[in-house]
Amino acid sequence: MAEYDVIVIGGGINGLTCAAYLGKAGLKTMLLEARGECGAHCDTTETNIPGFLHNLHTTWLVTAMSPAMAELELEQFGLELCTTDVIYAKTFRDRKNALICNNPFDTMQNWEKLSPRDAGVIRLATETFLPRIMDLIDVFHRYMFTAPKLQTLDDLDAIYTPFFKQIGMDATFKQIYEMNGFETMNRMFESEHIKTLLQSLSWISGLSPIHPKVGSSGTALLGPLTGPVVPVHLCKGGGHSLTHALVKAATAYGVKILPCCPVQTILMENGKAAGVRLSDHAVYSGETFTARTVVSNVTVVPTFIKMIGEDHIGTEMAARIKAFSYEEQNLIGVYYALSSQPRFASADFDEGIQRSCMGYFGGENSFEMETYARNLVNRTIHDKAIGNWFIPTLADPSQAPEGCHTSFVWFDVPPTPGKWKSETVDGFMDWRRIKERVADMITDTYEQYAPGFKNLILDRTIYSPLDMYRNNPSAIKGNWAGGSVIPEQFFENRPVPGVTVNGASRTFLPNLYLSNSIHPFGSSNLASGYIAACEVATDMGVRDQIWWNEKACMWLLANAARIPTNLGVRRAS
Amino acid sequence: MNNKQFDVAIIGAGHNGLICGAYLARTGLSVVILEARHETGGGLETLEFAGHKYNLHAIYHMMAEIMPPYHDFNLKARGVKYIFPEVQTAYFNKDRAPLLLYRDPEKTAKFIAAHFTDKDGERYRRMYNDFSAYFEKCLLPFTYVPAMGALDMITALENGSDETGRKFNAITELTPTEIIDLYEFSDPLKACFLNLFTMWGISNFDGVGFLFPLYFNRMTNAALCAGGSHRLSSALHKTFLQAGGVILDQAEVIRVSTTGEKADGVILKDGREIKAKAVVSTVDPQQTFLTFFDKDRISPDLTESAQKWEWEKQVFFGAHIALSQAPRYIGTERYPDANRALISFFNIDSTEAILNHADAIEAGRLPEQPIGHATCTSIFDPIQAPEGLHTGRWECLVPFDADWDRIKDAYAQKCLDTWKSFAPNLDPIDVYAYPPTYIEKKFKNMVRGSIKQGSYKILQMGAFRPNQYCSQTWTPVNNFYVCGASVYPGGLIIAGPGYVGANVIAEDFGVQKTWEEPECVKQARQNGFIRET
Repeated sequence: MAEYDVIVIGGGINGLTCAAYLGKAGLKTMLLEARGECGAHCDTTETNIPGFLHNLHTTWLVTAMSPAMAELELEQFGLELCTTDVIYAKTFRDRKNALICNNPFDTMQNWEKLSPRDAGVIRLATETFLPRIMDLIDVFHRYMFTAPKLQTLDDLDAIYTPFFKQIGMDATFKQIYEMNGFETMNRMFESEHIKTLLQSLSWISGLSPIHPKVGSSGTALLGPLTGPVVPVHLCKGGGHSLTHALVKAATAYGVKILPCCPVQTILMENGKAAGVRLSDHAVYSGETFTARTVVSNVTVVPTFIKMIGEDHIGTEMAARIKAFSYEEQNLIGVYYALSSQPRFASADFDEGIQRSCMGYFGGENSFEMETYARNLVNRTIHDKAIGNWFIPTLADPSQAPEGCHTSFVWFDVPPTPGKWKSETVDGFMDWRRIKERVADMITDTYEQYAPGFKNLILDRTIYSPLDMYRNNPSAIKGNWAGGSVIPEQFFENRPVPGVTVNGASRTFLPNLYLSNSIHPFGSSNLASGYIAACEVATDMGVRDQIWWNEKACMWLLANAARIPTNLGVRRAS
Repeated sequence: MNNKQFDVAIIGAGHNGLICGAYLARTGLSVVILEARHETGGGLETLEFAGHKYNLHAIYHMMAEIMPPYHDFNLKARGVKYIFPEVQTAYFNKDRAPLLLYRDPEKTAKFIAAHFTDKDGERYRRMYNDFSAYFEKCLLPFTYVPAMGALDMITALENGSDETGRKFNAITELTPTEIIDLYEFSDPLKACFLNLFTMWGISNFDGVGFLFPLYFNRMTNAALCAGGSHRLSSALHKTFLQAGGVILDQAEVIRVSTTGEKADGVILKDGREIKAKAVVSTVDPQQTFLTFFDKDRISPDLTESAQKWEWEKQVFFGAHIALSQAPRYIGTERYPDANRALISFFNIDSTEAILNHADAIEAGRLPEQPIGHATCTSIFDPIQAPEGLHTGRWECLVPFDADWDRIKDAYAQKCLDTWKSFAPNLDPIDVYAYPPTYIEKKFKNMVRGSIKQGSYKILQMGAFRPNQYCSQTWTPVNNFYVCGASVYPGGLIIAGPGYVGANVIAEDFGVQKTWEEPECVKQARQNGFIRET
């Protein structure tokens, strides 16, 4: 008799989600976390001056679209979302900015100033998609929260192709899907401001525009929707509050959570996963636990290569898994404690940017964005800082002392750089040597877009891919998505063809499931954890629960109006 | 949540608040804990950054497995594992052999006999045994019962059935230096032993010497919490949740609400009101009595005592570092054990120097030459650093008032230079300077960087902590209790105030306790040291 029905390895937010669902469904579930705190990629800490909370990973959340919001009762367990009315702002050297706002009419108003034609596109998107919101939700639920099926692409085609025709793109969804995010934006918009706005948003969502399928999904599929619906929020108290809520939920649903318990080995019995053995460094040094089912929330390479081993999976499969890439979706982060709010030079163009808790600078046009993306593939650190900036305290002032703010910038970098400007860089370990100077470049760039920024800095913390990897060795090279989101590792191919069978989380080894590295990819929508929970529950005969019937986005539709907005925005006097 | 009525509302989710809450919740009472920060655990904080676990505050757990909640809550099964390093301390001095204090007193006595004098070895045996008896039979049980008046305590010890009480009485009026003199130690040993007490920022010895045997005994039996100090608070947190307790974080209490003469709830900074039959404060007396209540609700005596509350004048400066290798100390070829000490002290060889150093800090002067100690947790607990790397922690006493924002990094460098002069291989990958001003910024109840939520001086100890009206958990305000580190028996991770508070409050509610009195208390009652209740 196994001691547990389910053991989940890894207390990241998707592991916690999976465990909480299974606990709630009545399975005897244990979750083992290697770190002291759960939520390695949903972590908020006071890394420099106390009182300034820095979100080292997940900051903007798309949890509101997850069925887990209602089914796990995350609000009852302390999750409080908040937002700003302008949710995304790309600022440019010509002192203009492009905004995405919660109210589509605000977005249109800003775009009108950049390109009346492009504003028309987003108006049409709003008029087209808002009335069909239930159809969209249905297809999105299947796209994000169930195993990838090619049928879903047909359904998307039925919805999107007429829209694309209407705006004169002269291609079907399926044709557009094969393009990259630069081509799609060139076809959809005329303004470089707006093209790069959506390219950048796609990129920071994990869908780098340089790749076909991936880039088109982020730009052409999701881009037009940012007019009608922006499911993006922050979490009061920082991203880690989502971890807290999931830990509390899982605990309440009877899940036993043991931190500081890294797993060394997944135990195999007659070719089936049967339990785990902890590392000698664990609090329960070297102990073994047996289970009917094992879910790994560790990424695919350490799961199969380290915890199971080539003996059990064969050389050929091992070679395919080892080729899984972690080389894109890596960041260096610079976290600032600020004495007050920075003012962007483009605020005179549209003051809305001063009410946005996040945005982007650099990458003035598609060509520059594309060069930046190509450099990444070529292991070159881009010679200009281009990146995603945040000022979370505009949405949630509790993340800094009164009157003060936090801000940070994420800059996409190759984890194993070979080159930066004219300098040769010696790979992953060289981050120790160069990170200060890369951070200086980022700080200088911030100053260019928001003059006076440097005078506000009280302290800063730098967080390189090497630091991220040390924080979470499952995130190889500091990758934040459970493995790069590239066409060979996307949708039906994810993570590696042949690793998952009959779904998205069931692996080729009986009784072993994955809730990381799988479809769609690591994200705060909690989809991977949800999918794993669904498949495990089905296989163990407990899927049929009256509370387990929610669809994506339904919670958001019902509750969006009461999410507090602009809590940290000082009113003009 | 807003309209819910609880039996008990506890202000502060430090270890005392969590312990008090967990005991009470386990009796079936409905309990809510309000925490101002985004994380619970108070001083049991472990900052995880880039795979290094930095214990920014508490690190050496003095009462580890002997504190009652460890057994009562089965914390072992909740992932709390204590590591007791065999070599507890190493005192390094460039002119002589290091002094090693092992957890095994016999080993220490032999080490001292071999490297100092035979007589000193014998003296150590005697002192250790005396102190152990004082600790086990008197100081330990007194930690887990409400404060007794000094006279009552002396009388009980004098008339008890075990002679340890009388022996202990004979030293309670002495200062630590006088106690060490009883055993005829001289420097450097005297300085080293004294340091186990003064390292906590205690220098005014008037009336607190009785604690010296406790500190000596505990600091030769100190433990690390595996995985970092936060593991303890995390386990307490879960114990509380599983007993049905509710924790609200980012819920800063600004007022205690009252009806008539009774406390009946709390008001949060964000305007929420929470009603409770009993309200418990685990924060300091100034917040508790001067800000939570209107002045006219509190007697002038109580107000005055809160106004006069004194904070420590000596506070901690920390430097937390990511290391590529564990420190290897100079001159340890002959003493390999010295590289495996839990705490390494540097330059401690003269009692006078220690006392002068303390006086200088009390006078507000920042020591030019920091006297501090260092710990490398990952030697004992590799999980506190990424694979192959190490995590180090430097700590020394400093005054609170200095231009820390400006000098913190330079001062950290000075501290690390001192450390490196004894461990030349020290190679910091990352340094987090942690000045006392950061402590105050983080915790509202650690005013002026307070280590123990208020200075240990005679009028703030025993039945006077925090004052004569409130040292037994009850306060003059009906239904309002106090049980944080500013209450008897005091600060550091000893679980005393929270445990005593839970007992008193459970009795007032008339609920069935789910726990038994600790063995040491039962024994002390049998000996007549503690009166029957």
